[in-house]
Amino acid sequence: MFETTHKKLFIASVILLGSSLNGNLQAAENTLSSIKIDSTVILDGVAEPLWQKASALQVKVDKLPYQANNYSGIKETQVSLKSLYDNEHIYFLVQYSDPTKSLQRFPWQKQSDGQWKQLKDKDQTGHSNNYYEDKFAFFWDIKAPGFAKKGCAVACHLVNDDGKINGIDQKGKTAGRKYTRRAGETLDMWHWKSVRMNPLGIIDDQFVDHVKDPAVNKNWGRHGDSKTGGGYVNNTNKDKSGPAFMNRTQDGLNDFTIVPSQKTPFVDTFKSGDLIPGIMSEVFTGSRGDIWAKGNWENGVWTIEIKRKLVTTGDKANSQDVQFTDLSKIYPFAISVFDNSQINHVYHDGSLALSFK
Amino acid sequence: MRLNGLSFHSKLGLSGFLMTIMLGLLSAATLIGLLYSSSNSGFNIPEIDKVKAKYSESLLVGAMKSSMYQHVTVDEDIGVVEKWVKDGAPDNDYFNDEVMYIIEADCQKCHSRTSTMTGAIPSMPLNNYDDLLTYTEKGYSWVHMAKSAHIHLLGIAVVMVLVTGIFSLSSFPSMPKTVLICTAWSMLWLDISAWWMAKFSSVFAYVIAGSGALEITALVLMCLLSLYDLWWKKDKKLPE
Repeated sequence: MFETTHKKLFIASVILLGSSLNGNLQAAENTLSSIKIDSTVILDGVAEPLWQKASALQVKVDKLPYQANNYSGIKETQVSLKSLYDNEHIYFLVQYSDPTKSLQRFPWQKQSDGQWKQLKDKDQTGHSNNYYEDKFAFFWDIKAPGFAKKGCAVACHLVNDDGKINGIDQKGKTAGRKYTRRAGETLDMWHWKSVRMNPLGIIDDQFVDHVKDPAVNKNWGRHGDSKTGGGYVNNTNKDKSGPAFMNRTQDGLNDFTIVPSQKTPFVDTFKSGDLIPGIMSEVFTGSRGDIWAKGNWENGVWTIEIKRKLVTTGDKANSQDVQFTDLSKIYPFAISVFDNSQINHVYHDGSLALSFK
Repeated sequence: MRLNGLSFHSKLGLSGFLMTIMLGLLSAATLIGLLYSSSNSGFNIPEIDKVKAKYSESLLVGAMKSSMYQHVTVDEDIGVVEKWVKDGAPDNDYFNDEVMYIIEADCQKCHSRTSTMTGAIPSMPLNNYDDLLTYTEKGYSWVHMAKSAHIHLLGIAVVMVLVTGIFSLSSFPSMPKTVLICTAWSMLWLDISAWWMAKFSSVFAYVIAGSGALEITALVLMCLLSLYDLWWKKDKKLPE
């Protein structure tokens, strides 16, 4: 009896080992399944029960493109992704731990001598890591060979030992630039910005193409989608000595940006230490504003709900937006988290995949 | 002394060791499968072309075909670099316009003296012609061979002497014991020597794959048979 039991255990162990050797078990590891629904998701940054229909894909982001000399943000977090879709739209639920809710993006601060100073802290690349905002990004393959294999890295170009990118001096200007290899190769970038866009309920819809010359585009391959209006501008007076506008009321998310309904000319009745937004935001109209989102930070967790049409029809939609036209296809994508940093971000290797069920 | 005549606690201790060795071999096989296949997860059978690339080609091209393949944007990139190396790795327009363009896109993010990216390898920079030239020699260099060979030979020898020693105490007949012990040791020597020989002929890539597989198989078999002998094999009276 004792011997028989041992033999059975041994055989079971061999079968188990054999099963684990099956590489196919890994196939669905990085796939996010979007589930069909017949109702609508309410975009409020709160995960309603409807989201329980979807399974979460857990993604660890733990890599940084460079070590900023003043970066104190997260170096690792776990992102939970869920997706739903209906006949017209696709929805995403993004949740991740971030111990700090960072909204003070280059604010103006009244000094003890009555002057105003814009708070900034530049790292060795000239970018901020402490007076900025929390952001989250999706990167989608439109037509960029290698993206399904390498993810974001396919468009990421860091400065070399000579401080150059594509032969152009970038010392003190940046850590890296984004561009694709050849003309016609594009990637869709959904850039959720907690200060500039979240109060307006949209994502900054951008794309990356092959431009690798700042003389052509100052942001190299990174562009905003076509727009007919809206956007964000610095809140600076003519002589750049202080803010030009302020909010009518100072509360909630609007504290660190000025939206049109709150915009009023700056009148200095403030005391030393008071803050005024350094940026003014207006809803993008056109293709750049065709993704809706709402984020909410609570107890150290950002919850972001996103909604976009499965197929967009804006100007140059096919070259600037990923189109979910064929629901039997796999759509490669990648994500990254920006913790109060302008360009530094935590990311993952390779790509993820979206499928529809 | 026979294995199946050991005390319960001695059997437990040896079983733990043998199972650990088998897990170690499984890990090694997994790593080899990942390094010499196009996949970056799961268990894979090594592709002979990738084994050839590592041992018979330059370190630069070999790495692009095997361990660094996941960072190569498109397969055509490997062909461009391979052509340059086969042409004698000259410092010409082809190098500057075609090869460096690929190196910059696929390799320099990590392989840079100043890179602070997660996982960066500043000790292996690929920033200019001189940097790349270092990795264009076909097959293993003397330094690379000496470094890899002594680590593997000394490390594996310790494992091997323990596993063969335990197996030699089993109650199996002399012939299978002799075959397995000799196979394990001879395949180790053949495997390591083929690393160097593959520099002169890519046929030795098959020797590397074959001897490596036999070496692991022999070790696993000795572990399994020893475990069987420890716990299941009926006691036999030892000859006087």
